[in-house]
Amino acid sequence: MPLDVMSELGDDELLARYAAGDRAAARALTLRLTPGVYAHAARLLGDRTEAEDVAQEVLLKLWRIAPEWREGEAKVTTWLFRVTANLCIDRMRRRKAGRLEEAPEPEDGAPSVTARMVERDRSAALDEALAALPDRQRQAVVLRHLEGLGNPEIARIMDISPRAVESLTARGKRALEAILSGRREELGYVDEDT
Amino acid sequence: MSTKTPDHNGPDLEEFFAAARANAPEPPADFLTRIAADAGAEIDRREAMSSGGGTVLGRLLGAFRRHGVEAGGLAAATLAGLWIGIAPPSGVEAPLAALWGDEAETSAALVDPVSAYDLAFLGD
Repeated sequence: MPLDVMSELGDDELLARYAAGDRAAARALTLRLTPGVYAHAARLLGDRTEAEDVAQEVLLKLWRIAPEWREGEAKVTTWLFRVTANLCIDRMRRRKAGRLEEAPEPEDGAPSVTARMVERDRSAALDEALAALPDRQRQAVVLRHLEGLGNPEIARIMDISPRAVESLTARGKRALEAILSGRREELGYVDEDT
Repeated sequence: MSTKTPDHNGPDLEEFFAAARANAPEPPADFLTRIAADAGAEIDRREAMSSGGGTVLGRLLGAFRRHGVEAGGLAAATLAGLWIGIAPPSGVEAPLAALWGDEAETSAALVDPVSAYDLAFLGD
């Protein structure tokens, strides 16, 4: 089956096809799921090389459990976020947080180069600020505000209550504001009083 | 949900989150190739397992199915050796007892009749 047809299938269906030995499903799942797993790992770890190791390990686990996957019991993405976070937390406990590599060169075109640079600076500043947060706060903030998940799903991923998720994200955001406030001028914020 | 800071002198976090979402780390192309290769290798592994099974007996039967008479003959000889090791015929017990004494029966039963060479050969 061609990849564009595969793109209409849900994760569960694709995984079932993969478990049955469908190599096109393997390629479709790789392209669909790997970017999210890799990005999540990179944000939690602040290190793209380590993110590759973690993402590869997570997807290997997915390939291996595919035949036992029970459709409808859990979302594939929820399972992936959970396994990714657990592996990242194991690594973070074993080492100090690293820093993201230099962002790639900006591309031509809209928005303007200046606006793009400001955006990249802010993205990099946020990465650095996130790296300074305690692990669980960082995980909750990333899942809520960068992955766009709701509190109930985050609660399932982190194995805590939705209220605990709210508490973690609130504390995480206060800490981020405190860290980023010290870099207002550097990041293009102009003080209205001056 | 608003992420505006209550402190008007502080940064608007939503601007940072939006910037970070727009600059999500992207996996390199060769990394995607590696992941796809892992997925394919896992299919290969499962197919190999299902055609032969993971146990010694399963591998022997799998070899019989895959390679026909030659491997089947080896499998039969190996199984016969296994049986002789577990329950040696009376004709074998007497010479062993003469050679190694009364413990020969026990010793013979402990010998693994399936050598590493046999297993490696069947695994190919």
